[in-house]
Amino acid sequence: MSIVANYLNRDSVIHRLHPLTKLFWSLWVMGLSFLFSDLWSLAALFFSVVAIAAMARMLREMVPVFKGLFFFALFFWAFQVLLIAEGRPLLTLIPGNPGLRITDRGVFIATAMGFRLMVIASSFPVLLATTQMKDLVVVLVEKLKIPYSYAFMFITSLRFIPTFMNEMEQIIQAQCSRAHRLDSRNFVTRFFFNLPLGHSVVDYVGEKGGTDGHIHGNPRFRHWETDVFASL
Amino acid sequence: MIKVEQLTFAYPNGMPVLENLSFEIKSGEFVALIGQNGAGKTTLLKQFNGLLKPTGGTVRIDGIDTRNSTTGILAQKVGFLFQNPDHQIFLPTVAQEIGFGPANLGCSREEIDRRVREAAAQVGLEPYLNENPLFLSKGQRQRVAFASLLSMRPQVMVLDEPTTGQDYREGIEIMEMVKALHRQGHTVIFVTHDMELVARYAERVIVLSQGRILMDDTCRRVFYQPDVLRRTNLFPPQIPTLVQKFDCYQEDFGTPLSVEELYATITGCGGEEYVHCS
Repeated sequence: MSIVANYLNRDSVIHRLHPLTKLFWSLWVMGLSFLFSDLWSLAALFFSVVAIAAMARMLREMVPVFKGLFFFALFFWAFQVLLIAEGRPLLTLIPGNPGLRITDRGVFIATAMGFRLMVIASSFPVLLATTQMKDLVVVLVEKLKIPYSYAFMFITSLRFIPTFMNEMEQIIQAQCSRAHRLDSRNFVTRFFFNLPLGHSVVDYVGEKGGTDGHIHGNPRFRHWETDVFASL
Repeated sequence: MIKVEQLTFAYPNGMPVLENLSFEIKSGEFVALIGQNGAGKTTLLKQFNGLLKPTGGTVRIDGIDTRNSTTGILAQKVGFLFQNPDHQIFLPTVAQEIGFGPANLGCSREEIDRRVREAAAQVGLEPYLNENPLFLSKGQRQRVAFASLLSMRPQVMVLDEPTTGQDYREGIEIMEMVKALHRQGHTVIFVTHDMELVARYAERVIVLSQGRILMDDTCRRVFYQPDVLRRTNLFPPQIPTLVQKFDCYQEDFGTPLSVEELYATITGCGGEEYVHCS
């Protein structure tokens, strides 16, 4: 099961800290990530989170989280870098087309934004992995005077993250068992093969009655994929 | 068909779940995998279609090492029925749900339609082909999941607690379908906590305890060793339990597994006569 929103029992300085301290630390780190805009400050902030995870003796468990965030940030980076036109051009993707170029400023800003994303998304797992839920509730209700119903809602939503992730894993496994290529090593293939499952979940939740189900024929040419490519 | 050699498996958190398992399942066998919760049954099943890869040793399906293959490729040989059919179902009609596997295998539209019709007929879902599977009963949804497995025509059927959450009649109906497939030559491996089902259907039983094989023998031999079974919190079905209450039971009764067998032993009647008498 994933580390996200799961408490890891360790004997460390970070675990022994007061929950309020850790809560403020994670909010402080998130706040700083919005205040900083230069690459080096955001990189330093991210590595400070890694250092805290190491001090909490759970770096090994956090590696998959950092790895997942890195790929997400990379994906984000690839889009961002093309949207920023200012700066000295480093590479023009289509010769003669100035719209699709990568600039030094674009690389700098997109990398900084990637680090910001990783900081925001990684500080909370560190908090939750080092603090028991009951301690967090007590702090929220007794120290921060948050109404119990709101604290309960907050904790409940966190509590179910691992459950949802486990369910998602089961769904992926069930579809892989039907030769759906969700376990492909190719990220792009995996991404596009995940789309119809997400589509069906959204439809199901919205009670719209399921997906478009034109699944017959060669899977390469199913029409949800055609729609995605057409929209691009 | 399936060859497991010194299989060891641990989840990323380091907990060893399977330790040094070695066995072989031949084509056409009907095998039950039993053991207490946490014994590693589902983890072992997931090794057979590559959902989990060994951390030590090998699992070979028809000579293919699962570590060198993907679940998508192995799905053509090993069909996996999950305990909860809702993890599998996501398309708006039963027909599309059954056709999803063959579509992934690259079958033509005509071939998919043919397979959908055949699989639906095998599990009695023909009247529901245009229904939304999510609105069917649990037993019917399990049949949808089973039919979508059949439509891929795998040689090996791996069933993870196929009767869980179903009433007696629905459970027996599912197992009768499985039995019919076994008669056609399919290899069947199933996990269950229902020892009556094991006694009724399985030819061979593998008992797992804490990730190791405690026993691997015929159903009859396994259920007549209650002391070993108790070590993994399992109890034989009622008939073997009753018979073993008598001294010298083997001389008087033999080793019956079912009411029919016990009746036949006592009265000398065959199975058909038991049905007639009862």
